[in-house]
Amino acid sequence: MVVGQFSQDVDILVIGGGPAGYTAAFRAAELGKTVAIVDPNKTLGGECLNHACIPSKTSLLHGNTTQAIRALGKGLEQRCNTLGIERLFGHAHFENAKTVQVTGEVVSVVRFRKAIIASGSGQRNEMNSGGAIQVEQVYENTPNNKTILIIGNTPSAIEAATFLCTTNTISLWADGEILPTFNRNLVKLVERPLSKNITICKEMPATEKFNCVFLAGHRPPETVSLHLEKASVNCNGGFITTDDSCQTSQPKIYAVGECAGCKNSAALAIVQGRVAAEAACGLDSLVDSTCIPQVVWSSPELAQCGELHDGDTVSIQWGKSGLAVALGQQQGVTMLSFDPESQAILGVGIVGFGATELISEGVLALEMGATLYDLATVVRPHPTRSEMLSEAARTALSSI
Amino acid sequence: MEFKLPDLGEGIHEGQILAVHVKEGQSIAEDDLLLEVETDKAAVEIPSPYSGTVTTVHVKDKQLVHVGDVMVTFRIENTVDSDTREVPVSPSTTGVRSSPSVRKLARTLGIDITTIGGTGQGGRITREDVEMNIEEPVENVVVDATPLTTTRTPSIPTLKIETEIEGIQEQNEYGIVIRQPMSQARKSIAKAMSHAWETIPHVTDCNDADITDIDELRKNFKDPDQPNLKLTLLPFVLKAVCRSLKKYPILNATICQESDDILFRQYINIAIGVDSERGLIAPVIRNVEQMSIGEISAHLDQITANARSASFTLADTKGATYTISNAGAIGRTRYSTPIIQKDTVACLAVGRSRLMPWVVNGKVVPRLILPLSHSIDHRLIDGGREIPFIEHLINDLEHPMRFAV
Repeated sequence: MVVGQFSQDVDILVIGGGPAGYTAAFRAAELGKTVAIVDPNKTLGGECLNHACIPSKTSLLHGNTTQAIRALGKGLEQRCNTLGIERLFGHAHFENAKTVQVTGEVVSVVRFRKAIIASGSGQRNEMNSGGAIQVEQVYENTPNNKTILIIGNTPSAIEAATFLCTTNTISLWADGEILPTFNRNLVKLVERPLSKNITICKEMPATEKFNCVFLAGHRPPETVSLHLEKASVNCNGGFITTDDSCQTSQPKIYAVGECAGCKNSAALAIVQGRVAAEAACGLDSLVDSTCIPQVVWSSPELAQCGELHDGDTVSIQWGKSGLAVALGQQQGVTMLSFDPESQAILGVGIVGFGATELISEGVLALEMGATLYDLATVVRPHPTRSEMLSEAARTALSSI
Repeated sequence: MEFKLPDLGEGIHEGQILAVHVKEGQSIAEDDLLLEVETDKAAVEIPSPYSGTVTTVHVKDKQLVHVGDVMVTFRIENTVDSDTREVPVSPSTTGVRSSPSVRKLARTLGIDITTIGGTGQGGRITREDVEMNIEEPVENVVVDATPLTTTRTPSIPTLKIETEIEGIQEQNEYGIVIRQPMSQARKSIAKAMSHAWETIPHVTDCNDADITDIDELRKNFKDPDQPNLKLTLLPFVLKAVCRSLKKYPILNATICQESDDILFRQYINIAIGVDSERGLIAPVIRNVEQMSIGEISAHLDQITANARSASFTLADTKGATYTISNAGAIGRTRYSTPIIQKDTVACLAVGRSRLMPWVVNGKVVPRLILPLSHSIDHRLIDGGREIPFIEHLINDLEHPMRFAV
């Protein structure tokens, strides 16, 4: 140890202050452990709060982004104070399976009983050409009257295109299908209106023709700078390998969120954060969710859960929904796939206004192992768009 | 650096090595599990006091060791990475149709949910499906704290033939015999049992309590302030026993071995006989007389969980003034002759309740009947005390309003 370094001991050290990290820290502190969070940023919340999830939604839905970030960030700080969680500003590097060096304005050494890595993801680097910007930037310095190329097939790419297309000329290069993890019939309902406002390129365009180029592919895991090999934490393709309890190859160290391979789902990352904290505190806890919803805040919104390409499928057009028609939102569809033999629900997909909220009912149905009869029997308020799920279940029942 | 067996407390001088968790040449971190030693009553986990490399292991499994014996020699290093592991890939439960709470139940019970057939709509796995898959072999039963209910379909106990018995094979004139040394815990149980049987003149009184009403109350119990509190019958039995012990304090007394005086204990500490992997143990709930039924229930959950995970200490089994054996938790037993523990004068065995034809107001009706077997030490207690005691207990169980008032 270098003279002048100061060292401290904590029960649980959390590396990264994003949703997975702060969830883990809060839970561990609630369980009575001494906890510290290492993050280079002055504010908690990570990419989700400061650059990605929250700013993109407040921008798309015309909220006040700056105010939202400030209010939510303040809430997180207060929670930290109440729970007595210590904040360490800097980058973390493992020295071994017991200590981490934190390099920031000061260099310190933290000895921990258990560590939870929630280091998230790094900058995209698929374009070597200079001048390419991370897509999250569009919500901070929104371009106007520019010709813009967005590269990527992810929900982030579609959301940025949806946000920018009203005041800019947008081209999108997806290198194949857009939103490849979604059902094709649902994606078409999003792609058709989008292609009226933007150019979806069939071939890679020359980047020089554009004022700005935004990268919106998947982000690579942020694990290299951690010196994981010194703590015997194993990775696969840059992602930390973990089991159901988020435990790594080093039993004292857990990993959650994007650095552990959780792609594009802050929801799953938050679940993992809670599980890792509980497991690190000796509780019997594991990620027991079988169904992770995928959503895109496109126009119209798109959401799906479960398997939509297996078994039989029914689709109900929102023209059947009194409310949707009354409000001029009939450009929507509720899709249900099921196993005709057991009548089990296999997947739910929704396109239309509010799909990102409506999908939760499908997630609940899948997680509870519901059948068509269950969904058909549940009474929903009238008139709402949620009625379309019962309608789909009844249609499916009559088709068997 | 030599590591010697430390003083394990409670005047224990020796134990048997149950497991050695390190190998020579292995590096170990401070606080990692080093050894497990079985003493008279409990298994004690001994963590490593140092971080370093194990150079020599001086003991092996099953060896009898004494306090002060050298267990392990270490080479101390400054920084050591404890041994790493392969990240296990858990069996996927995707495609299993059941609610998350049912999946958790299966996991807690150690049941692979992917092997269960569901009886719910469309093959959905229900809580009952998982409960039906609880293995109940005659040997090695996990004590379930909630067996006293008639709604659960009784599973047929299957006699599990132990195919792999550890030991040395021998041949006698009738066939093959496997010789196995008795564990320290079994030796201790054997000694205590013969001592009790030889010194205490036992009398066992068998009775029935009609628990239909209390069972109804228990099942319908809901408290918005304690939404997670689910009551089993056993806390009520403990409460009723407390009330009867207060009324007939001689059953809570003991005979002083030195002077033949009678010691009336002004506290009620109830030992609960629990079957564990290592055999019968009886963890004690202290000062039960000061507890509400909810508190008793919480303590029972705790000791059952501790017994399952073998994480109890010797101190947890000391100081009992009365014993209850929840034999009905293991299977459909009715009456038995429970053996009285040292320093107590009575032991109550609670059998498994069942619906029986019962005469109420001149008519035969189905009632839920709980068999009770009560052994007393006839040196100190006569029928003149025991019968009113058990009468009071049964009356309490049959008139549950008495608990509330």
